[in-house]
Amino acid sequence: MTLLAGFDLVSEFSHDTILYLIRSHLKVGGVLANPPFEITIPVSGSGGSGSAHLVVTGIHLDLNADDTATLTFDFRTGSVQFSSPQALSVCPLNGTIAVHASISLHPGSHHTQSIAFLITRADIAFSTAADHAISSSLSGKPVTPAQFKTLANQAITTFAVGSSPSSVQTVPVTFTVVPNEDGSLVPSLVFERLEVHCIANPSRNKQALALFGILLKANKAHGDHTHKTSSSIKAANDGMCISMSPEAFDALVLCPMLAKKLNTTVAKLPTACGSAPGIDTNGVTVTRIVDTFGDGHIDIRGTATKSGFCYEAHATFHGTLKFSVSDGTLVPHLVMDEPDVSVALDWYCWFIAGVIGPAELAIAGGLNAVGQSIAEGLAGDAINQLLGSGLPGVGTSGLGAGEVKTAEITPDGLTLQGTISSPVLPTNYNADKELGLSGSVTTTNKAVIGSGVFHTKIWCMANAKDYPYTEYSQSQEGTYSLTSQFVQLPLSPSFTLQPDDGPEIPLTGTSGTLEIAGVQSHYPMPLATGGSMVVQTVHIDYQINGTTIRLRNRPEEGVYAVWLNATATGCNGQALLDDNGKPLNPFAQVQFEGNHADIGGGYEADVQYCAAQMEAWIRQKSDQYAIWQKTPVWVEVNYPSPEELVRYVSDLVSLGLPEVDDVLRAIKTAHGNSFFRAILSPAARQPSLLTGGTAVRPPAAQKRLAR
Amino acid sequence: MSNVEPSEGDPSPGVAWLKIDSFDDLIKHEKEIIDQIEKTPNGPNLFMIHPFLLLAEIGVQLSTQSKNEILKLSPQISGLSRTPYDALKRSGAQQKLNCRLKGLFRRREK
Repeated sequence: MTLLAGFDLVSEFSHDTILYLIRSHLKVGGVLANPPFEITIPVSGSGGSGSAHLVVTGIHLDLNADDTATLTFDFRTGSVQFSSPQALSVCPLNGTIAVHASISLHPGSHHTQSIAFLITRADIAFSTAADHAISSSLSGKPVTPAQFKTLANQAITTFAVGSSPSSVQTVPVTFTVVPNEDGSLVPSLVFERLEVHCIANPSRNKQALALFGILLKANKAHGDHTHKTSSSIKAANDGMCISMSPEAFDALVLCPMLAKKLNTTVAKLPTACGSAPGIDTNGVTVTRIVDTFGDGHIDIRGTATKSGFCYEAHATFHGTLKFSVSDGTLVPHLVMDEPDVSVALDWYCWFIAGVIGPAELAIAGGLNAVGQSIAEGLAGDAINQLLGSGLPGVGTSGLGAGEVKTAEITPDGLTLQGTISSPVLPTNYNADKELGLSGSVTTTNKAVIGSGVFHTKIWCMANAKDYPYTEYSQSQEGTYSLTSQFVQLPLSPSFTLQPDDGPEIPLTGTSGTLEIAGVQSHYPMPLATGGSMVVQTVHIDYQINGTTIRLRNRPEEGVYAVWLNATATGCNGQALLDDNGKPLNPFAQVQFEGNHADIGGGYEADVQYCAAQMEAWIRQKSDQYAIWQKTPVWVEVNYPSPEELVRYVSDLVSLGLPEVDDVLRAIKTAHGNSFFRAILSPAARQPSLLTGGTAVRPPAAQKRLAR
Repeated sequence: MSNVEPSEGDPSPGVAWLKIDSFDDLIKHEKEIIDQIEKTPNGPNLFMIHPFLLLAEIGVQLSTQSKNEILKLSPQISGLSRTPYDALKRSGAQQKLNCRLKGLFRRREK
């Protein structure tokens, strides 16, 4: 195995990092491959037709030697419903779905290439238990188990691949590739050529996806990825690494850095960077400088000359370059050995005592300065610029933050080992089995049944006033649908209706009328008392169609609420249970408003005015005497939330003022059915709302509310 | 919009056993009327919802003059509806709020 397989730069991404990319971006049949999720797909072919529902709970990735990925999805609580040749259900089904995708680089704009997946095939495999369920469900039926499995496989393939050739899906990991030109590391990573290949291994945590790149045009014919047979990533799960060949290091790191430090161009450097005979710096002429990658270090070797008025010195020097990583930054450490210097002296120099010593010192000092500039250059320039974003020059917007942890030097090259902290996946964390009731009540018919003049004096007003009012009868219909998540389909629901504190009454058949005794109904009239309350038997017409239920009120039965409860059985007729084995039992409060009154003549504005006056007065008193901890803040008559209104009333009641009854009556009348909605709502039964942080006891407040 | 507040002619009046021609006349018979209301299922509650309908139901026939006098003395008796009245009449259920009457209407100020 070689580190780079003849390439200039190889970037490797771990199995887990690629799985993260897939879960974040790859869609299978239009669904993000990020379990848990559920799918419903048509099943059709010779033998029968219908639909299948599967709950997908897990995903596993294999990166294969043929540059394909196999995504293995676990599924559970699956079911297939055939509508032809006859209606029949096959369940429960669990097993795996293997989705096969080729991996390639897909060209984009501006010489970019992205990692891309093309889904080519999908296979379904059933567990032994599912095989038994299939045999049992199809025993004596016109669809044979073999036909069933063929249909299932066709359905899964059609779902995953599509009926026409599926399109390539890219993930946001991009590279720039400009053929036939020398590439670069900084300021941006540009390849001359790039290939993507899998590094396979029986152990998933040793699998990787590698990008094999050529940076130097001269190397364009080099590289054979098959020579790299194992990943170089050291991290257990979240690793990545980038390896650079010595040649690329020289051409793209060391030589440009030296040229920059010595204020020249690479071509004007001596061997091995350029072709110049030497370059003067710090009083010496460096005539050769080469580097050699060893185990754990890079040897820097060179030659230099220095001449004086009566001597000529030749020196060979050697330095050892190592790297450490501190806070994600590569720190070079270059230690220069004492140079070997040979000095050729003119005869008259013999007469100058001690001349040799100064020449050696000058050379050593000059070369140390060169070494220092190399170290500084490496620290400040190329490699660290390359590492500036944490991941060397790779467009990785689709990945998390990368951090270089270590730098390893071997004769094969320099390898930067790092990790990628991928952001939290957008996983559906609420992966529990769930049933829900979704719906609302709407008014289907509204008719005027009365009108007149309401004569009243609002508590803070000087005189009584006349307010015109209109009374309406409202026919209403509540439509609710049973919704589900991660449970076996199809759902066979059972519904019950229940008054507050009363027993559940089952709804039998698909339609009928339910009588519910002891329901507390409210009416907005008479306006002077803030309405009336009647305990009575109410009648609710119901109609059940599949998982949808329609409930209709009788307007003359006023404003009331009942609870709609549901349970359901799945495909195999067994009750749907949650993960703790308890029945899933969604419920919804259904509020009917059969009777309604609108009061005109500025009644609401007058009540609001008085409430504001009272609020100001209470604030003043509270500031002076700290009598009340809370000041009731007026809730506008515009469909306030039950919680808001309950809290307001609770705060009002807690004041304990003699005027509160008058105030409450006016507020009740002004808010009309919003008030009833509030007292019928679960909010009115929340002690935290009713106490509102004051000294009022919940039962007292609730009693006042319902009066 | 028409005022649909009920008059003596509203449906379902009981057999009139007492004809009231004036407010004073009403006060004179107040005790026996209240007794009658108390005997009526949910009578006081029905009276609170719609006094005129209830009086008619129990057979107390108010003249126009007496009704006008009542409204003059208690103008807040307005905004009445027979919808909740009928609902309470229909309901055989035990009510959670039960009223007791001490008097019928506000007296004249002396």
